[in-house]
Amino acid sequence: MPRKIAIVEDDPAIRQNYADALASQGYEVTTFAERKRALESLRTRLPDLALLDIGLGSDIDGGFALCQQLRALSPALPIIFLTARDSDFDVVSGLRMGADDYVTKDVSLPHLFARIGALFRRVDAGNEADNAEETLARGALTLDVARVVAAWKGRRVDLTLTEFWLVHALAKRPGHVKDRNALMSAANMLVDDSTITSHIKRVRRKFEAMDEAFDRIETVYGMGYRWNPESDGG
Amino acid sequence: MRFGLRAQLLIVSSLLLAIPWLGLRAAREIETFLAETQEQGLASTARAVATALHERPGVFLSDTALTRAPGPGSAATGPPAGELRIETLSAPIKVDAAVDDWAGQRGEMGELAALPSLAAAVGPAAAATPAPSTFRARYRLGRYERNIYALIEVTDDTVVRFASEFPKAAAADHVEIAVVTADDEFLRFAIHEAGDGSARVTLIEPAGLSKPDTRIEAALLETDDGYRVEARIPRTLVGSRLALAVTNVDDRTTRTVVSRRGTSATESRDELSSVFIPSPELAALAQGLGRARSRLWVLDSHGRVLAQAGSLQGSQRPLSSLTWRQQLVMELRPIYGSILVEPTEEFTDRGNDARQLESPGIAQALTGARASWRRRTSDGRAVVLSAAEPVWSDGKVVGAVLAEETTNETLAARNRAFERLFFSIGGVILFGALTLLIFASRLSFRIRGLRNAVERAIDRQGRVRGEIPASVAPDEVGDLSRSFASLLERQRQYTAYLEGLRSRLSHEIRTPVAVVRSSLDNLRLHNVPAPAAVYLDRADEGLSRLVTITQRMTEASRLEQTLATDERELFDLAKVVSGCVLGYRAAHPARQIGLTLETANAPLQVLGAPDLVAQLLDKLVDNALDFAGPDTAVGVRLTRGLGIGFLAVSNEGPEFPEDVTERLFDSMVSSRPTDSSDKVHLGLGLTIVKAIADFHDASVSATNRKDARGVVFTVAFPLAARGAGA
Repeated sequence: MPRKIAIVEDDPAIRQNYADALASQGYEVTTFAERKRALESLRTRLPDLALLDIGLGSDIDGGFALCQQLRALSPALPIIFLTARDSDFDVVSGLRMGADDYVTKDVSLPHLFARIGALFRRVDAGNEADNAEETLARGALTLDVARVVAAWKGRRVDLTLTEFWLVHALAKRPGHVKDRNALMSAANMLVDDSTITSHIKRVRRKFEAMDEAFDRIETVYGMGYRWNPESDGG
Repeated sequence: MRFGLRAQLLIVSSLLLAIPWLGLRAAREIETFLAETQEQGLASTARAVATALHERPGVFLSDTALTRAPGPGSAATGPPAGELRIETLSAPIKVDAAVDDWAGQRGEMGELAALPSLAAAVGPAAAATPAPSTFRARYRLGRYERNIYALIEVTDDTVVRFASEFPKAAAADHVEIAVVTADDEFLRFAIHEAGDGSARVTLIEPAGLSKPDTRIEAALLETDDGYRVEARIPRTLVGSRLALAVTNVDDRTTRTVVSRRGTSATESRDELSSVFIPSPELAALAQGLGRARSRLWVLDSHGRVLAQAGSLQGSQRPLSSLTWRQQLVMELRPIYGSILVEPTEEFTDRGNDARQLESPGIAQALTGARASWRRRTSDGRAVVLSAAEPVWSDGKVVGAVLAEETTNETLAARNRAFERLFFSIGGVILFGALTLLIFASRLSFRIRGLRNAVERAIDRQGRVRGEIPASVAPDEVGDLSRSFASLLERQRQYTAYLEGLRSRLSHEIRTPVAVVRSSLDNLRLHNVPAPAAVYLDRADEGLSRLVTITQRMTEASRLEQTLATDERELFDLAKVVSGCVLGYRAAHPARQIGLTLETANAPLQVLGAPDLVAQLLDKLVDNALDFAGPDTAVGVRLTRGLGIGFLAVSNEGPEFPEDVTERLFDSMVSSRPTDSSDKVHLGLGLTIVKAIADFHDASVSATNRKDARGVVFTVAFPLAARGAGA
């Protein structure tokens, strides 16, 4: 059964191109030009993945609103923002709205396919967690791979899918530097450098919100990030 | 050369210095006015005195018929040599041949000069050579009221008395008084020793005989060495001329004239001395009419002084007990002393006792026309104003009144006026210049403030950073401030529009790019024949460059957002730099990237954002790699200075043009040569470097390498204080 992808995009040419391309990849595509219609339709039949433009015609932040509404419908629905905007503010806003990925519109179709595929694989990985190791414990950090839940010192850390897999990739091999590409493939996603940086910052903040002394995720400038094992004794 | 507003205003205010010049002009005009007034006053004084003297023949009594030296002989010699001046006596003289009542009176004895012998006129046996004798005579004349008194003392060892057998007057020792009366009558009187010790007064008739006459009263007294004669002559008898003569006869038998002495010859009327009788009435009159510091002369028709009153000289004011203002004036006097001459009372002029005055003006007045003129004193130290007015009597000019005054008072008044003017003008100028200076300072202060505010409001990139507080001052500077404020506001809006345009443009471009790209990608999915795929590739390539452009365009503004929100943390600069360099080596395995750490093995603690520093280093290293020759090394060097960490990135390659290093970090300036490479240069890279450096309070500089083989970029990071990192 083909996976269903919903595209909400106000530009007809892009919308149609993406729809054609994704259809050629074997996905079942539904397209919407504006938020209201999209929400009405998607409310009754939730897609497997949503590709949202932020600005929908005169509805400047329509994509953000739609994202929140969809996230309310389904916490696990993979959402990718597709936008002409690329400021950090937009990225952070988009991710904060609960999106799993964020691509700019000049992304090539193969790149987009890759990202979509990565997201689906991550969902699949979550579903197939039984096959992998149940949990990963690194000191105070506990990652429940089956339920995609992270905990720090016993308390749950509210991470998105992407964030969870990023932390998982880092914590799996403490002390080893993971460059951005490695992180991307580990998290089954394809984002540009600044998006990774934004993700990492976000993850850090989430941990710091629970523990001010949190300093496990270390930046190795020019290379990437690593899970700091030093004070892992406890 | 900078020529400030203050200097300009000061120069303009130097026009104030024209005011003293105007003051000087005014003072001069005052002087002219005063001088005219003075002249008029002087003239009216002269006129008043003259009017008082008009038609008073009594005053000018002796002068009505007096003509000066009518004879041709005396005309040539000027004023008669033997003019007799008859002084005014203060008390009457008793005609008794005693000298006591002359004592204490004005005037003194005069000597009678020897006269040529009159032998021919006297007798047949005239001695050709008179024997040496003791004969001499002295005289004295005086006037009291309506009489003229004469005293003659004769030294003669043989007094020959009158004898009736020798009736001729010349036949005995005698005193002769010759007069030309007011009626122009020529009379000769002889006074002999009557023989009984009394005086015998006779009128000498043309034949030489004499007959008694009572018009003259005389007394004679024989003394030890001769005799003395005292005579009273009525004033009416003495007109224009008078002569006194003494005839000496020694031989009682021959009765020949041995010698004669006299004021002049007495034989003819023209030989007589002219007579001059000063007029005390006139003097009193003049004294009454005269003014202070002026001098009045009453002259007869010959210019002889009949009366004089007053003096030219005033007294110099005492200089003691000056007020501070006067002292200041005294101090300042040398300044304007060169312009205005201070009058002095220390001059010399002809004395008040002059007996005869002569000048063209007096001559003119004596012809009947009034005159006024000015002259210098004899020593040239003062100027004397003179006014002469004729005195009329019976339609004839009988004399003149001359009034004289120095201009000192006028000059002094002018100088006082100028002093006061100078003083107040000096104050006004000083005050004015000071006010102008303050005003100009305030103005330039305001303008400078405005300039600084404008300079602060716009940064090097031309972006509006702040606002100018719009002044509320209701003047032009306020207008300028307000228009600057609105100008800046508009500029700010425009800059914001431009910056917005940049990101909007990149945003707007993305959509069509997305259309093209997705279309190309879709096309590719449809089994494009191999030859056609080439064009797909090229289209892709062009698209990538377009995308890069849009990314670069937004990079700077994205960074600014980051800088505005990023928090600062303490980090080890050495760690960041070495990590980055490892990354660059991994990313560019074909290139040589050197790293030199001179940090003394201690962390270089910097307060800031390590990610941003990595981004800065990215830019610098990218830049260096782009410029470095294909097989040359790029060097990264970190050095610890005193409180500063120096991060230097150098490469071999083309140097900077001299003029560009200053502006290198400005937006939109790229020193890179345009080449055919696919790199896109918008000149924004170094702007980002600068922005990140500024975020860290670091300074960036770009210089050519000392070995002239490349360039080096240096960022100086201020190090965080130790312990602050805890």
